[in-house]
Amino acid sequence: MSVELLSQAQCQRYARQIALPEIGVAGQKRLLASKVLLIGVGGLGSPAGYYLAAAGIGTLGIIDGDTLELSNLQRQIAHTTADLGRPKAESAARTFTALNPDIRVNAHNLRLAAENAPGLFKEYDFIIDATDNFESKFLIAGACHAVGKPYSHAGILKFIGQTLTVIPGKTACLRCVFDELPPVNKAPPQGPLGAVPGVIGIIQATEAIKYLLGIGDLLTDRLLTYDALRLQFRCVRINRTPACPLCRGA
Amino acid sequence: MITLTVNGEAYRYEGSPTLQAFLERWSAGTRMVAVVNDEVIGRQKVGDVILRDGDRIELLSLAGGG
Ligand SMILES: [Zn+2]
Repeated sequence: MSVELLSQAQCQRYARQIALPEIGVAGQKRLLASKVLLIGVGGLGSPAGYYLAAAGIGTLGIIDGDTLELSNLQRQIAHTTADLGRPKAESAARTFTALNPDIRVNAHNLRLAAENAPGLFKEYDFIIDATDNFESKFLIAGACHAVGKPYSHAGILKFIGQTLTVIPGKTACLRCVFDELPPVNKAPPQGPLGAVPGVIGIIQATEAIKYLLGIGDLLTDRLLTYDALRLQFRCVRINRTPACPLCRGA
Repeated sequence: MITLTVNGEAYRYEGSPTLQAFLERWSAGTRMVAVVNDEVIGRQKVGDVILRDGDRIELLSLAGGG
């Protein structure tokens, strides 16, 4: 950790969270020295990235290989109508830098794949899975396991959101619960209501900050489900599974 | 009759079914993961687990959107 003092502007910008005894000047310096990788800047990644940038995560990596479409803007709030047709990694990087020029944003306009994931993940302290498909979620779980990086998993369906924080090798992982990919669904996507990934993405950002600071109780060994229509939050206790393809033998 | 707690709500159930029989009736072919009393039950094992009075069952499916 850096021994430099915070600048006057930093003391003002982060004053409210520095005033929290759980954070303080030492915690703020730790956040500024931290690196978080956000995979996907859609419905989950937009709100997660906003709050990570605002909190002063010193290095924020963004991976997204898509360009912005009009139907994205109902929920992907890191972008604006003026960004239509532009790479999402770049428009999100502009948004987060405008919010907080104090941080460094690395925009990767590329698609995550088994070949590039481990190399990218190694550079970061915490990974946020804000992707929108099963294959990417399994890929991220596997790559985080391979390089030993903690991650926040999340998924959304219509009015429902799910999230789980994983410390590979220590706590139950995504594959402990879901051992195989669900069958391919060819129906056109329905939803989600944009505010649903908003709620879950903000929980993911909070988990990253808690992990980096070592405060509170992480959402580990329990899967949180948010049902917006019924307004219910449920935490289901889960354990590491001996048959898990990732945890087996670890 | 036994009482099972399914996703936090109590249900009365006839007899002591296997988890497999329960899942077939409950989820009508959709693929869900069952967590019984905090233990994730793999799909190969659902025929071996016999549900008993007071068991807590959580049915989960992976949400893929974002
Ligand atoms: Zn596992």
